[in-house]
Amino acid sequence: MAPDQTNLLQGTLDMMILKALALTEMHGLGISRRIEQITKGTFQVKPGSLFPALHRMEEQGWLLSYWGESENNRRAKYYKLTGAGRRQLAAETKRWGRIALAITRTLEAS
Amino acid sequence: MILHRLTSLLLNLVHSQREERELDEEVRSHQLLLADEKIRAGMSPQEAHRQARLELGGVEQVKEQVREIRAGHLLETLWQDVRFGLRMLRNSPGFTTAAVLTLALGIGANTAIFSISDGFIRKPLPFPGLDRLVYFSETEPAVTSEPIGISPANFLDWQSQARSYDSVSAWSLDSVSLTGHDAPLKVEAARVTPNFFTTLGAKPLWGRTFAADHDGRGQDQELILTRGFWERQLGSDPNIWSRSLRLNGRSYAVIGIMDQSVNFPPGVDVWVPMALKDNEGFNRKDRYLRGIARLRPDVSLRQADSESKTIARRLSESHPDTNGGWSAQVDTLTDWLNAHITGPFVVLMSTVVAIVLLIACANVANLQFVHASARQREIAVRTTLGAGRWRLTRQMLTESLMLGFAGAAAGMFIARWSLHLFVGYMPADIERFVPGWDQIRLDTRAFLFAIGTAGVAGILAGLVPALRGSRPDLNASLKEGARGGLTGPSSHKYRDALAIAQIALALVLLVGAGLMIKGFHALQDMNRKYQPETLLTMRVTLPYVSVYDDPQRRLAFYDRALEHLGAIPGVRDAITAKGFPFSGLRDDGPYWTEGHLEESASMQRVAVLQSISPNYFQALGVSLIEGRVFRDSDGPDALPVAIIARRLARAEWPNSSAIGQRIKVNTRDASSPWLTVVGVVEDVHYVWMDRAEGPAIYRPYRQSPQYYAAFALRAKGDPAAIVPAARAAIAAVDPERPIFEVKTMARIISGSTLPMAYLAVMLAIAGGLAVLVASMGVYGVIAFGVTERTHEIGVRMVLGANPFDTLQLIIRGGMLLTAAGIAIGLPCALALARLSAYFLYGVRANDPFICIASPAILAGVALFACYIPARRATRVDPMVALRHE
Repeated sequence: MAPDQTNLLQGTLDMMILKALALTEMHGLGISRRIEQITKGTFQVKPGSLFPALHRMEEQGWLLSYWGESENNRRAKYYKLTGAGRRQLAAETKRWGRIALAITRTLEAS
Repeated sequence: MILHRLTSLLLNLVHSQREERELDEEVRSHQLLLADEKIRAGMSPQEAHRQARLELGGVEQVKEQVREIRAGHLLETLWQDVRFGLRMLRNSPGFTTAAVLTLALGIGANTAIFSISDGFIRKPLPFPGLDRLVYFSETEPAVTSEPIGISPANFLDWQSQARSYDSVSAWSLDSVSLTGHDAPLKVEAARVTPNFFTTLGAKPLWGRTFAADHDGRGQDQELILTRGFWERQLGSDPNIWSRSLRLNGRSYAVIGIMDQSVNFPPGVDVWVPMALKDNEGFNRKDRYLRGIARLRPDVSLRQADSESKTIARRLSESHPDTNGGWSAQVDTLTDWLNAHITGPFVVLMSTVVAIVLLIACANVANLQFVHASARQREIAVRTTLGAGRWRLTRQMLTESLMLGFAGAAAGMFIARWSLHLFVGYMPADIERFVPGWDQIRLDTRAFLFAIGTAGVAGILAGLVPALRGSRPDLNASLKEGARGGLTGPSSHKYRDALAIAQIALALVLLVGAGLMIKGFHALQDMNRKYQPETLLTMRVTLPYVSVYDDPQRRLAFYDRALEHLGAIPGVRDAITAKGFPFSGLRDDGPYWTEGHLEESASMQRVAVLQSISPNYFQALGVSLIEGRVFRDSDGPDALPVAIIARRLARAEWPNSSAIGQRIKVNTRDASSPWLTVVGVVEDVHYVWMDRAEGPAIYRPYRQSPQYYAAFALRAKGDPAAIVPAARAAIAAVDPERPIFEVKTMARIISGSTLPMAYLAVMLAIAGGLAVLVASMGVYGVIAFGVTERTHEIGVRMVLGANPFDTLQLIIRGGMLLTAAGIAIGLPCALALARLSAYFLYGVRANDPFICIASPAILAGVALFACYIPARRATRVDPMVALRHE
């Protein structure tokens, strides 16, 4: 994904991270793999955009982080959703639904 | 959310070390996890780690991006920026010194003017809660917008009816004579209501203030001294308590001494209590009292003002004969004190120093452009190492702010020095009448102001260079051997624009200074016809409640005084008037012409009312245009006559002669006689502020003997030599009447034009500074251009350009900038000049001399500033220049 494309999708990235973390807590690599998986490879999140986003969202109180053990016994930093994060996800989902609907209608109009 | 950010900010401050370590660990663990993944997919460990590193991108870049996110990062990097900035500035001492000195000039000048204005405006008097003190007065809106004063009876009604105040008091300032010493001494005595000092909140140094007895009236015959008067005139007599002082023939016991800072009303020497009993308390007609009151804490100025108008309306209904057409108004005491000279003075000077600061900022901005281009490589390196653009901009802005603060520190010295000059040159006899003068000093507020100014200046001077400098052309800058430089055309554009702005602003100041100096000269020239060096003036007052209540006695006093004064050997003429030009004694009053007595109030005109001896015009060199001058026979029993100034004659009778027309002055009721105009004279300027100049009506003193007057003696030789004889002459008429303010007309004029002289000198200094700094700016731009173009100049020379061509090339560049600056600055300067012409005599906005001379001077200095680098360009050795590349 080209860098300017990431910028374009800044808000979207936040939403996808929240969605990825909705099921279970994960470390950074896990999150990017999960997003790849959900989107069937359409979005590949590079560390350059992932980490600033994670830290920003933590600042905003949507995420909590802690150090834990990975599957293969590596120390890794894990992230999980807070209550505010869940509310944010709900709001984002609703907003996105509206936007998607509006865009679809616009494109389908003749 | 905000709370969360704040705690996070604090945590970041506390844990910044740990944060950094954690971030490092997180990124590293990510890399390892990536590698693990690849190994599991079947990659060799070595290859997996390499791929992981590649995929992660620059570790440092990722970390830098994360750091930018962190809120607390701001403060931490600020400290880094400051340390780094200090190192940078230390490494280029030339740049630093030039920038700091330039900013110091600008900030210092602004701080000095701020201190002066602050002294005038915020704390002219040392009273507690100064902002709650108000000046209230009656007004006659139809005649003038100026507050008039208040009559005793109206004041008493106010005092009992107004609900807005904690305390209401009044004063009136009279010149009285102190006797019992070698010679009668003129004393400025303020008669005040007993609660006067309570209202002010002033406590005596020694002794007590006036006691109000049970019916609110003070003891008569008590007196409070100012410390200055006690020291100056009474030789700091420690036994003053046991002595009594005789003022206008009555004796008073000294009960207290006030500190000199309690200079209120301004110029006061002693205070005596005012009892407003007997007849005086019923006087509703003469508005000679001044009202001062302290607002209740919960009452606003507006409320007090509207209450005052209500009371005035009520009074005008119940006393239509004396109060009809009168209203009232309430101002803060500070506004009232600053209404005249200091207001425009402060506005003008603040504008001037603000322009100086702008020029300084433009200059420092250009210096920073040059400086930034010298460190282009450093910036490029930092960019490739992961520094964001915002980060670099901030770094450069921080440096600019540091320059500003250093400039403020140096500027404090400049401010101190200029305040010293400013305050030191004011003559003591004028200083007393300027409240706040003794309060002018560099205090904490001035210091805070300097810091604030430094911040603004730092950002102004640093923003554009920082934004430009933080966007380097990486490829060009990193090439080995490239002379790093902001050499793109857009950078030239910025620097040229800044140089043009400097020239334009400097021109504005230069034109301002030129006009002011020219106006000052015109004023001096105009006064030359009075031959002010040989005209000795003095004042005398006749007390109200005395034998002089009888106009015949006043007339006799002036008759005999003029006779005695005229007989002094060495005196050619002895004249009298209410006040001479520029003396500040000027009595404005309304007048009516015959047939227009019932003119609606909005048509009311006002003139300077004079009361003169017949030889006044001849002695002052004022020529008669029409009719005749006064004669000795224009006495109390003859036909009442008047002479009017040309301006008034033209305004009232544009199509016919004014001679024989009749006017009334002061009041239009039957008690006021019709005055027949017998002559028209040329206009006399009574004050230097053109705006205040009005038409004048002269009456013979024998038909309108005043309670106060000025005398002037035309000396054949040295005027100082006749002073003792003049004192003796007045003493021979009435030994109790002191003469005071004995000085030559020349001194009166220099005293009253002092504010203008101050302005002229300060503008000249500011204009000089502006030209200096602006030409340094042009020099900098051209010199840097020459350095940049050394190679090009070398090539030109090889191709056959001679030194003269080179000189021309460089100078043309500089003069184009100058021409552009002048083209922009001249219209601005003219607009500003039109403003100052509004209130300064002799200043014509479109003065051709100034309009040509100022740009010419500026262009000359700029030419010189271009010539130095241009000459260096001609000495470029083509071989060296080409090898340099």
